[in-house]
Amino acid sequence: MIKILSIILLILLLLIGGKRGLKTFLTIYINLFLIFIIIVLVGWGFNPQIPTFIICLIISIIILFFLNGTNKKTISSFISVTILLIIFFIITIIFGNNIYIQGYAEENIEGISYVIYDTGINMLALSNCIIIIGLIGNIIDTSIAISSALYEVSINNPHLNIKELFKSGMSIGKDILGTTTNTLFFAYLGSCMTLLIFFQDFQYSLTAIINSKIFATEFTRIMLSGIASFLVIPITSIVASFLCTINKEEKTNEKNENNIRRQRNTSR
Amino acid sequence: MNYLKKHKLFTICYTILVILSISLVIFTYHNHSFYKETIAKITSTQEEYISTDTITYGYHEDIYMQTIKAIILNGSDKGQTIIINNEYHQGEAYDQKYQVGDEIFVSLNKKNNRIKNAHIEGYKRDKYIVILIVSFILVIVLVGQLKGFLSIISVLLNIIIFNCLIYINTKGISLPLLSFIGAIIFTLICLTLVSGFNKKTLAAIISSIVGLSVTMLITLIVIHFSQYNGIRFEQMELLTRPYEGIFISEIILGGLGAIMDISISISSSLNELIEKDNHISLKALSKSGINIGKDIMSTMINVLFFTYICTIIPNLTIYFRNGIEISNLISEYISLEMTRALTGAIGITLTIPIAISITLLLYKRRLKQ
Repeated sequence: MIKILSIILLILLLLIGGKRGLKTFLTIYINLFLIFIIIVLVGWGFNPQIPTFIICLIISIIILFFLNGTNKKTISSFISVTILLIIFFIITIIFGNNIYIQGYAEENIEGISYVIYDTGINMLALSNCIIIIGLIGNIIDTSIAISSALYEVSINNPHLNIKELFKSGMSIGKDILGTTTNTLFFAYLGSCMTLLIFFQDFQYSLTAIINSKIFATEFTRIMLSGIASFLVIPITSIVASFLCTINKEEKTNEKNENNIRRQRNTSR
Repeated sequence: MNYLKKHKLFTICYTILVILSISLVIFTYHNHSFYKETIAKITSTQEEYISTDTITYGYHEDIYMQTIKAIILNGSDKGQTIIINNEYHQGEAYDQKYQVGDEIFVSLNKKNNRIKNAHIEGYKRDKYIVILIVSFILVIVLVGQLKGFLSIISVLLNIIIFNCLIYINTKGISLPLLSFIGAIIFTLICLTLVSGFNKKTLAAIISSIVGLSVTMLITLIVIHFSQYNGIRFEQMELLTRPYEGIFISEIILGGLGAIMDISISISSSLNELIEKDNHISLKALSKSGINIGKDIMSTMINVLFFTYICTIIPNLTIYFRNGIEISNLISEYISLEMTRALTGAIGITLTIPIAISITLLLYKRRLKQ
């Protein structure tokens, strides 16, 4: 079934996206491969955090530079994604240490009895990494949307300074925010529906739901990735407006130097 | 002047919001008396090594016994100190180590009104959930201001509608049908709240619904011919009812957000182009529509991919450690999540031409003038 769906997707992507569609299709499978590298490395006994961080950087390099080309927009997105990744690694470590969502809830473990769960893996670190991997996609998405829109603005209005560019970045961000929230909300609703129906079927009370591990696991993931994709808006706005104005100064400097050289030449 | 006024108003509203949030968090830190269950706060812990568990595949885990002293915070036994034993594995796959200051639910075993022994029932997570909700709201309103506030309202409305749908489902109407009706209602609410009531929103709503229907049709045809061949429903096994229907509903709702996002982006940017130049040709419009679509498509597909795929990583690592081969993991154990991601991706790609043609159809009359 997955094969058939993959083929349908490939045909559609080729028809609509052409070369870019093919790249997108390849990226899905490259990313899948990278996630398997994380799994194998963790399986071999590495601490999950370091491979996750490196693989997340590789993923963002692939999505940004392979799919969207190397330019000022993608560079500023890459910088902001890296900043955000570091911030969220710290947040998840602090938060994960307190909310205890590592490993499995009792409800999850009942169904699958043929595997041994005590395998020496540090589940706390792993659950933190899952939060990070879950949010990498949407921070890249929001970040590239903002940096490319800001880039267009700065090309069309070269006289804008950092502050004005930042402001327009934020107003672009406001427009994206609503649709991003919707995308995330429904994606997570799709993946949590089993859980919600489970609560309904077994008549969990509201306090039981809120305090249960199985709910907290999903909820932390949803909320943190939402927060990440909102925080990426100001961060990308700052980085992109900084990069856009810096090069302009260089260019004006170059122009000035050229003018001086010309003047010298003519004077000679 | 107007801007300054607005800015001031926002600052005042935001300060009120911050104060409300902080008081809500403080409340959840002290809400013990509202719980019927007994809650205890850990005052001291002591760990003791018991043994090392060696698993057939050569991995080992240390097992510890934790002696916890805790003080009861609510109920008739308030103020009493209890001692609880907690056994945990070093990896904490399903048990855990507690720290001093943690609040836990306990069940007490009484004899003659004296506590004989106590047992840990669960961990009190409500304060962290509230912190998450509060910081989510604060960040979204700070970044998006009024639009952020509207997004919160649309999320709340959606949650209410979704609960109604699940409730109606218990009355015997099939879940996939309900989800589809729900999807239409969701689209109406979300898109009007995001971009107001106008022509581009209408175009986006129609194209989302058409896009969703076509995607569902394709998925249903594939399901019909492959009969869930190669899909493992392991993660849905916690349910006691048949999960095929739930799976289809999950697919319907999971891709909906992305489909809406694509439709509104395309219809609003085409609207912009038409407004700038009334004499722009249909061909040029559809070409720039495709270009816009291409730009959003690839990152959007990745959003769905990572959102879904990250949930199975712990399972896969455990399976890997249990000696299941990687080739098996790839071919079998990721099937459920991959199906979701792939149908979502198909939905995203299909919606691009659909959104372009519907927007152009709606604007056709205006173009000719």
